[in-house]
Amino acid sequence: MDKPFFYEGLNEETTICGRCGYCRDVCPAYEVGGWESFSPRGKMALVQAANEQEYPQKLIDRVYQCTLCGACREVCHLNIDTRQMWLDLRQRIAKSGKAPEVMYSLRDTVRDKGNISGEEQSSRLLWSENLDEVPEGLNGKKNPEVLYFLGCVSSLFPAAYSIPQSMVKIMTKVGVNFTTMGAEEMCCGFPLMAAGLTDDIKKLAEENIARIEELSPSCIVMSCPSCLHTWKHEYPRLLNRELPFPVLHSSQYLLKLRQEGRLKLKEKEQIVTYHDPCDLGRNSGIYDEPRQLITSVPGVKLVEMERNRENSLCCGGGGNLEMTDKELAANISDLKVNMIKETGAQTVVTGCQQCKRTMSGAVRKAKARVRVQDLTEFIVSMLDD
Amino acid sequence: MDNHLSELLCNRITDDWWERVTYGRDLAEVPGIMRWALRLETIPDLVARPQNTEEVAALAQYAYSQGIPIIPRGSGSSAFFNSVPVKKGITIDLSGISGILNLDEKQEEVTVGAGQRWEALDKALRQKGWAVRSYPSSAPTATIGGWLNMEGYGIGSLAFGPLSEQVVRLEVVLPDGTIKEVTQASEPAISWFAGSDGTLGLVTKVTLKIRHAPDVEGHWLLSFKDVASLSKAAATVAEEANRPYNLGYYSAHYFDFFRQLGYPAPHGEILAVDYEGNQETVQGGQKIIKQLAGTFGAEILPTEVGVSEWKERFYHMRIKRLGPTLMAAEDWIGVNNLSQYQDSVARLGSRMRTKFYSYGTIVNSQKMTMFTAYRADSRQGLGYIVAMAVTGRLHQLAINLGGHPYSVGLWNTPYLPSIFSKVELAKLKKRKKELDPKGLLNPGKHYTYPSLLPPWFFSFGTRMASLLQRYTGAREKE
Repeated sequence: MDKPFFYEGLNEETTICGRCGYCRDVCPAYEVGGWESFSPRGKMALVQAANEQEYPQKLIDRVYQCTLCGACREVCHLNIDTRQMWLDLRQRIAKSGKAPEVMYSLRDTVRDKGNISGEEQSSRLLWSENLDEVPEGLNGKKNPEVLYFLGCVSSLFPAAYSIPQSMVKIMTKVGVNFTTMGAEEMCCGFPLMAAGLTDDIKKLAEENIARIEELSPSCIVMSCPSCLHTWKHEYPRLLNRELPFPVLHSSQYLLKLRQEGRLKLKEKEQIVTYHDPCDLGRNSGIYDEPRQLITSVPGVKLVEMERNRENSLCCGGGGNLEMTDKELAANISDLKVNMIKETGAQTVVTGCQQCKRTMSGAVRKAKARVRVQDLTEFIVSMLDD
Repeated sequence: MDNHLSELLCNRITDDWWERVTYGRDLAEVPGIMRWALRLETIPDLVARPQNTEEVAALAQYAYSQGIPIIPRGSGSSAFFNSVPVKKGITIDLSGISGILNLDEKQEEVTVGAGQRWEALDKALRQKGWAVRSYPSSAPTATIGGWLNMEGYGIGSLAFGPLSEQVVRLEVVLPDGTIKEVTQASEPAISWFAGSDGTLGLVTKVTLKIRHAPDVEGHWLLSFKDVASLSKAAATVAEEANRPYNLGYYSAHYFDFFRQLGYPAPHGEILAVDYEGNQETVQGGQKIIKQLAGTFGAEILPTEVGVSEWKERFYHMRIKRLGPTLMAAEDWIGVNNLSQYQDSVARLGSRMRTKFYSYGTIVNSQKMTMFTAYRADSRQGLGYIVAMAVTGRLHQLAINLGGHPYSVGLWNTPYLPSIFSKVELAKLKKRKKELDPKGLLNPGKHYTYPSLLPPWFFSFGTRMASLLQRYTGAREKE
């Protein structure tokens, strides 16, 4: 039976919390921060000690010094949906005007520009300029087999450009009829949810869905797990209706192509480990498909990290943490790199551009001899010539 | 804060109230009015997070010279206020002193920092073909030092005895800051510190006996129609030459609550029998279980149910969701008294209109720990205080049958006369005076009860207050 999770309100759940501390020992922020107040049970103690109308600065800091990875929820003795609790607390804090200033700036940026970078929306296709050949109908083609939703990071941050480039190369090679939303793709709203500023998300959802309905794809594929989570779990709740098309993560779609025999890969001996992105694994329940895809490459040996699947250690890049406490995020990434190194793998593959970016930085800092790749990059390097 | 301390620990010591308040309780929810009435000062003045023995020693020296209480804390996962201050002072969070320091495969021993968590240690050892011998049911978070300072009985105790018997060596910082190596034969000995609630020294390193990681595991549940047959079966199997690794008891009501939460759960009075070892041991165990079921009229439940319950062995508190508070009494009782105990609990439940559930661990053919719990709501004011008083009635049921409360901490001090004989208590107090003449290490615990809670008054008070439970307690859905 799937484990049920509950969230019946802040007061109820902080009373139900037994203070057993199971959450403390899987919490990356606690492991790095060291003080009980970083831990989930510590934050609940702060909530109970505080006046609900006026949260102390310590609690505000700790609530935003969290990657929203959800590891605490997995081990919770009382099945508290702790991730929901942190989001609820962020909303309460943001509503009171006491969230970190950078969260309000982020909201304004998304409101003004439609994306998190502050670039003009027209920049959303810059990544495609480096392709050997820009596929016909890359932007706004109607009735495609696949609509590839890139997400803000892949579209607008050059360090992540190789992810959409890889995905497009794979789909072109396989002969998939696909398109993107180009400049009309809007931020999915996930960063606003993590900020605690949720008012604009419904509008973003409506705009994204309306545009996609015009294009009428058979399915949507996303390489960003946070977009995926928002689309699959938040949009139906916000709009009170099911999505009119299936939404898949790139790992699911590429595995499907592989199983259908459309995606042909060459043999290469290498040892690979896989990092479960929090929004793909714990928060969306997708653990097997990325592993099946990786191990479908002839010659590849997959070795697991000490913490994997439901118990995976966050890379440090989630929950807008880098915006509020860069050092804490970097220290969590260092823990991740140590865990990767212990596997002896030559490559760590993940399914998230944010995880890839965070781990790449930490691997560089640690001078570790490990290649960090998104699944799309890994697969494109294995395409059969 | 004294400069000496900030120089010693830099940013690993704090007097920030919002940090200190998170160290002001454990699993037990104690209403403010009760803390006030008993004059308990549960928020420490300072919290320190040392990372090595030398820092612990320097902290102890400082506190000793200044006459400040110090309170050692592992994960704070007990419920007796063992690691919660009652007279403020410096809480020393020992979580940072952890990790495997040495694995001696020849001697079958591992040395760890005392703040090492049990489950993590076991996982790390299993990667090298070894395993811990026993562990607490709070293993995901409980520390090695913390469990040693409790009584140290839990999963695997049937096979390997209490933790104190598995410890080869301790490194202890005494209250004056002296660092001492302690063995089974030294003076003071390991037995002094085991179950002492951290009142004699700060344990910083532990060397433990370990076992070869089992090749095979077998987990079975036997469902009995009555508790008397179950207790006889438990005593019988605990006497077998091929005795199980672990034996657990679950009352029928325990699983009623789980069903209420939506979990699939077995019916009947349940005996969990767990075998670990080589193929021969586990296959032999399976034969014993079949014989046991035949002799005592039990049903062997499908294997997957046994395995599923084994996986849930660290999650006995799930029922708290129905609470939202859980009140409980944990006691030692005789295995042969289990049936009488459960009959008494049922009668008490009927009188109080309160549904109790129990689970226990059989540690040998004679004795077992028994955890009996019920729902409450800590936000209820008087109703909650009444509910707390009911624990006194449950302890009394165990005492009436020759048992006594498990662990002392703060909350079981009114039961000191039941837990220890006068001679034993005098011996413990002598040790305390010898090692901690100023009474600064975890004061207010283990040796004496709060002045407002003398045993006679406590017993009378809990009896009177609990009479109201019939009217104020949580009502169960039938």
